[in-house]
Amino acid sequence: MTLDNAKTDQIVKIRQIQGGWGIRQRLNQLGLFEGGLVRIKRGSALGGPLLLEYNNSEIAIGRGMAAHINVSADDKNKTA
Amino acid sequence: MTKTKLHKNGGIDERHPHPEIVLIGQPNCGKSTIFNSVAGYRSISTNFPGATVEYTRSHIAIEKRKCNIVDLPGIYSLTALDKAAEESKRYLLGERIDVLINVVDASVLSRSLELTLQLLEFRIPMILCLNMMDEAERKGVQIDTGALSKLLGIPVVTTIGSKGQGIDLLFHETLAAMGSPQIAASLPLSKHVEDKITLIEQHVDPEARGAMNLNKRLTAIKLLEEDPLIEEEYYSVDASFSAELQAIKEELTAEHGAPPDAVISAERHNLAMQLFEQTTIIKHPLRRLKDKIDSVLMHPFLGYLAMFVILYVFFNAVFKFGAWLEQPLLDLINSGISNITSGLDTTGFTYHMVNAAFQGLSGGIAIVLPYLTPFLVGLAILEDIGYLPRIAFLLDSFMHKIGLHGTAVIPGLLGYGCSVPAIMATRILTSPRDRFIASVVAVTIPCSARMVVIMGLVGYYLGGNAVLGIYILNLVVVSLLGAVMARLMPEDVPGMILEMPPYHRPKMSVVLAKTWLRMRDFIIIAWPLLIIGSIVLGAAEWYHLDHFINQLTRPITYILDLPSQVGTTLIFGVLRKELSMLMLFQALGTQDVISVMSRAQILVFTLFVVFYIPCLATLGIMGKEIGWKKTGIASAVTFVLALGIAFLGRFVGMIIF
Repeated sequence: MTLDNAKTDQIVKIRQIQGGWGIRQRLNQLGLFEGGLVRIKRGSALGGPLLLEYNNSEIAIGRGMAAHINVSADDKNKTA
Repeated sequence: MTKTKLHKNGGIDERHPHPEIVLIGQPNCGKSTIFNSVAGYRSISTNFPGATVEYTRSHIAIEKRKCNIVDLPGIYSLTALDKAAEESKRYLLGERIDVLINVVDASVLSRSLELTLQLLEFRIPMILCLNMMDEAERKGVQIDTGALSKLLGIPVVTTIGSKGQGIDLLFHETLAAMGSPQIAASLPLSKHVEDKITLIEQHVDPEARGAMNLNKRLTAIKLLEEDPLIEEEYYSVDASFSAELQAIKEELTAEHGAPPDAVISAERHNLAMQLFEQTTIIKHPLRRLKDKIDSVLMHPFLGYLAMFVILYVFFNAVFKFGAWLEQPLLDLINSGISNITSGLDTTGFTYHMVNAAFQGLSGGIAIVLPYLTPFLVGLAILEDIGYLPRIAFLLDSFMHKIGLHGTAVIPGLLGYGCSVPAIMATRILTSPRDRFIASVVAVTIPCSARMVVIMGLVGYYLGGNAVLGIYILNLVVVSLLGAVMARLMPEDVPGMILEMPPYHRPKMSVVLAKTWLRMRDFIIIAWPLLIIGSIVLGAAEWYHLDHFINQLTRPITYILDLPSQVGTTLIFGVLRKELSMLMLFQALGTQDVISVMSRAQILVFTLFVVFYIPCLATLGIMGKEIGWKKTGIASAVTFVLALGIAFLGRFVGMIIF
């Protein structure tokens, strides 16, 4: 699934970042890498942005941007 | 003496005897706070990422040694994806730097180290400043600074910038680092990548384009990463090497199954994570108040409610405070003026001129300051708490409807303060098209100068609800304008990525210093302009020159059913927006506007002032930031818009009043 479909409080693992140089660089800059774990602090409500928690920081990410990120549910880990 | 000593120890250029200290780090890590703590409050610090969009430079003395210190806009990495980051990158590449202070938000150390690793590539003496140690402690982050310093090969100092803790030690270490000839080695990536870098290094000669801090290794890495700024401006790959470089990149892609930039980013990420894990323990974070606050302020329903309440209370407080002070101040000053001018012949030229000058002065004191001061204090508090990014979060999906995204809310909000920093703030947006739309939106939002007009005229004569009405109307118009522009310039909106900073308790001394920094502009530039403007207008009236200007502007005032005398004030309003109201008193010959203009006319006049052409300072900065052609278009659009809205306002006024 893509990140925009993830639900609040779910922990997911980033599988793949789709898109070109620009999107990849932007996400990497903020510490979002393939293989990384992310907790969805607030899922997208009414097409709004998501709030992600990882590496001790919180990042708001637009729904369109989130649609570029393939993730899989990761229930083994309790923290991201 | 000092000069030769420095030269011997640190290899400092004798032509520039003062060392250059440069603060660099990721957005919102507290660079400006540290800068301000040694340079005095000169660089606006806030609690949102991307507050600093251009560099600030200041002379300081550290332990009696004169230095220059530079505060650069925050960057997440050396790949600049917006204009603010580009400014920093150009500075890092091209300017003389004797020592870098890499400021890091210690609570997000792992991510920050990725930038640190890149900065090491410059081979410039560097200090790692672990700032916001109090926040790190709250998050349960414990860092072994000794180990970190050993692994990175640079001094590590811990600070709490907001409390001034560790600043003395930081700059002491900075001086020491400058003198030491030792420069930390950059940390190697995997052998695969290092081999490619070495291959490319043999072919590059970075001296070519005057980027004095660009070395061979860094050039090689940047070419592998396909950094557009390096490729386009600082280094051109010669034709003979171009094919080979392509082959090297393809080989790396084949080996790793990912493009070279992704490979390098991932390796740097892993390296940073290793450093982090070797030096940092994460204990249980303290129970966070932040999460509780956010569960309300960012709630899909309560969040909006809270936002309306907060903004309503904010503007209401400004209005109440201003209105409460306006009349007593006006009375006080006017009685003062009549005392001073009592000896003069009221029909003479001298009286006329002195009176004009005092009208300008009194307008500034009694009308502008009572509204401007509480507004700027309130804005500073909201900024420092960290509420602005929350508004960006809440309004992201709404902003998408008008063709922008949440990040564009920040220039918009700053637009309520002053259009100039708002336009500068559009640098945090990544596409030129977004910057253009956001700039037009930002200047259409009533800045604090126009707020003074709204509150001083509409608020004072028509009441608080009318003020609210104008603000709501403005929001509707701004949204429609944005939506129309977005339709005319369709582009895929890449979307928002914005860091949500923790809430900070605002510090009153910082709030006041910031308010003063912003207000200084009004006092130094606007006030003299106001007084001179009043005198010029007074003289023009005396010689009946104002009739000429008023004839020129008559088509506008006729359409809007305004007294012809207001024509000159609209011209002055282009210089500075609040002048349009203050000059109105001069033009009408009274501060009791209601005795000359009807309520409907006051409404129409204010509507026109709110929307028409940006002020001179704004036009200047717009021309610089988005180009003169677009600035011209924006001015024309706002003028037509203002005329249309004020014209409609005329009929609304006829119905209501």
